[in-house]
Amino acid sequence: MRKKIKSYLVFTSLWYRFGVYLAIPAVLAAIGLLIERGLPGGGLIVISVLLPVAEIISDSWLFGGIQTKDSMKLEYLKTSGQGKELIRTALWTDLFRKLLSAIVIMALFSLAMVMGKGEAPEAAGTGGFGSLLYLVLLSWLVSVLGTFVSRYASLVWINLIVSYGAMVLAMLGIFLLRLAEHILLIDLLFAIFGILMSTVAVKAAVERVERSYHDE
Amino acid sequence: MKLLQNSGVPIYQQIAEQLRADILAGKLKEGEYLPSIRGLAKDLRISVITTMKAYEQLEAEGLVTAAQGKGFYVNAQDSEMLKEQHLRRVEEALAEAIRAARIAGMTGKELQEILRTLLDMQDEKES
Amino acid sequence: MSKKDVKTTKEIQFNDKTDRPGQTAQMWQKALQAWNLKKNFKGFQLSVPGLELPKGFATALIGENGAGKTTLLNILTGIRLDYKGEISYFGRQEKGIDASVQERIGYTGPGSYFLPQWTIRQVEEISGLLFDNFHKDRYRALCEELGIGGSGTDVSKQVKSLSDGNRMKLMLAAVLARDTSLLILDEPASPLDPLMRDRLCDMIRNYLDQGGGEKTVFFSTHNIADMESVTDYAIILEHGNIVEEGFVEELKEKYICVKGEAADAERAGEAMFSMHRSAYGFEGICLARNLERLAGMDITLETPTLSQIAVAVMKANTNLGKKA
Repeated sequence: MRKKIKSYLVFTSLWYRFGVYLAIPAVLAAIGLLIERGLPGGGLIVISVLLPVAEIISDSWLFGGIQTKDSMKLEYLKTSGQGKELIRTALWTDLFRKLLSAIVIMALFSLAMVMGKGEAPEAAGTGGFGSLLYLVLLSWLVSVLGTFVSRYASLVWINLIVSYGAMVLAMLGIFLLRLAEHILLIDLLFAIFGILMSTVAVKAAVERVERSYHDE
Repeated sequence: MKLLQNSGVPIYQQIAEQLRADILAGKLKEGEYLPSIRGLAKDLRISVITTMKAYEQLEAEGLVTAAQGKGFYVNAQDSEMLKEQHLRRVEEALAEAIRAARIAGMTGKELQEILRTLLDMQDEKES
Repeated sequence: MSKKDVKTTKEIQFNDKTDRPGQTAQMWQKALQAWNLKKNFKGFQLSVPGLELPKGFATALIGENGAGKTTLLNILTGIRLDYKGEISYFGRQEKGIDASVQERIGYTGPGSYFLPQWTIRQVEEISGLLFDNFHKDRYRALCEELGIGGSGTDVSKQVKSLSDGNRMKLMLAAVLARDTSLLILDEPASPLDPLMRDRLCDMIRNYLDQGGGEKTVFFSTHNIADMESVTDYAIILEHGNIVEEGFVEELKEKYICVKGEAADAERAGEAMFSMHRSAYGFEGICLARNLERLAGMDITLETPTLSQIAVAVMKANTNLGKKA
């Protein structure tokens, strides 16, 4: 377990950790609070839409460009028998961390709202646990999709563009929430889709490594 | 040990010569181990194969013996062999002098003159 | 010019006395053996029927750019798997590379080696995860010694901000901080300045000395002059084929550097392996066994440098290639 965490952390720089664990949550919370003042129930929604944006942009400093043709030639990793495992573990741990970030940020925000207001924050009509989970999973799913796409390029502005697309996708998802009846069912679907998407993402990256043993 | 890069004499030979001189002069004692071929190569900043060749030459001349896993050690030098070695060196040196004399256009007599003069000088120094 | 005899690996290496006692017997132990290596490219084929690396020595793989050096080294390091043939490491019975073999090999190369955003510190951490035989303290000492992140190594410096020379030094630091039995270095001298190239040679000699005959180095270069003082065994690669190989001291006896008068150039040309002539005279390489054909000419003989031999051999084979 410790090694798993270490193999992920080893790819992160001090700045990245500062940004992802401190700066982003703080900024998002602040924005959430601000929005909440003017638009009750809107804070959490804004957070769930902006989180993927932050995740996708910050990913450029982590695994940015890792799925480009050249990058996976990472020869140093390939000279070790444990290289492939290291990448795979790191990628999975990162995806799990993203989920954890979404949960922690949004759950804490909700908790703060509950404690401050004495009632669960309204989320566009429906409230309750189901919608919180929905927002968390939506946010996470969009992050996973977004980083998967942005990792095919190694330029930061690609990440920027993808993050805008992700924002749009997230907003669509929010819209869907309004129309949803069986929210927990949708949550389940999202969760499954998320895991599938993660598997695809990790597999694609690891396959790139394997192919580079054979490509020209 | 001083090595000349462009003297025309292969480096392994220069090494062998200097070690040979040390052995014959008694500076390297019987049973004493020569530096490892890689250690010597490192210190002289040359390739390992060069030091190895130098050692093999000395081995072929009977001056050293290779011990499995330990390296090369100096053989006992008996006076007969020593004499032979020195004799050979005198012959080589004189042959070289003759060659140089030929190139310079000196006659055999002139060469002998020089030899006599040098011997006299050496005698004077020693007395 | 007579057609050069193409010798098989075994013929070249073992036509010498094999029953030498003591330390010299180590000469014939092999760090690595390969058979029938083949790899096809667009318009090019790497074909190596036999390859042997003498254990405890530094072997140079000499060849022009495009001769196939990097491909061959990639195959031997295990970062290129699409090839035909077999390789046996460290005298093992089993053929092929596995994790235990990879642990004992240290490789540096010109390709994308590290992730550009990694810092010197991250390289240290990743090395520890990738290899069991990595020593952090050695790595730090080497980074300091080689002056990678400037004086008082700034471990937060990113790989992408390092110059080519410093990146090479970083690879060397990472690799030398491990306990390895074989170093495979692809063009290590190229990105380095002359002073550092000298140091590289010292580092290689030091590595061999530490190993006491058990550690081996295999490096490639397109300019052997820089690494000549550390080369024990040379393999010359041309158009994907080994065209000459041998211990340097033996090659220097097989090929002689001949200088002579312009008047004799015509006649000499027929006996020489390679030659350059001018109004002032001729100079070139002659096979020792052909020397007698130059009898009677006013010539001086010299021991050639490995560089001169390599150039002569490569030129000769390029011409053959053109004729064919």
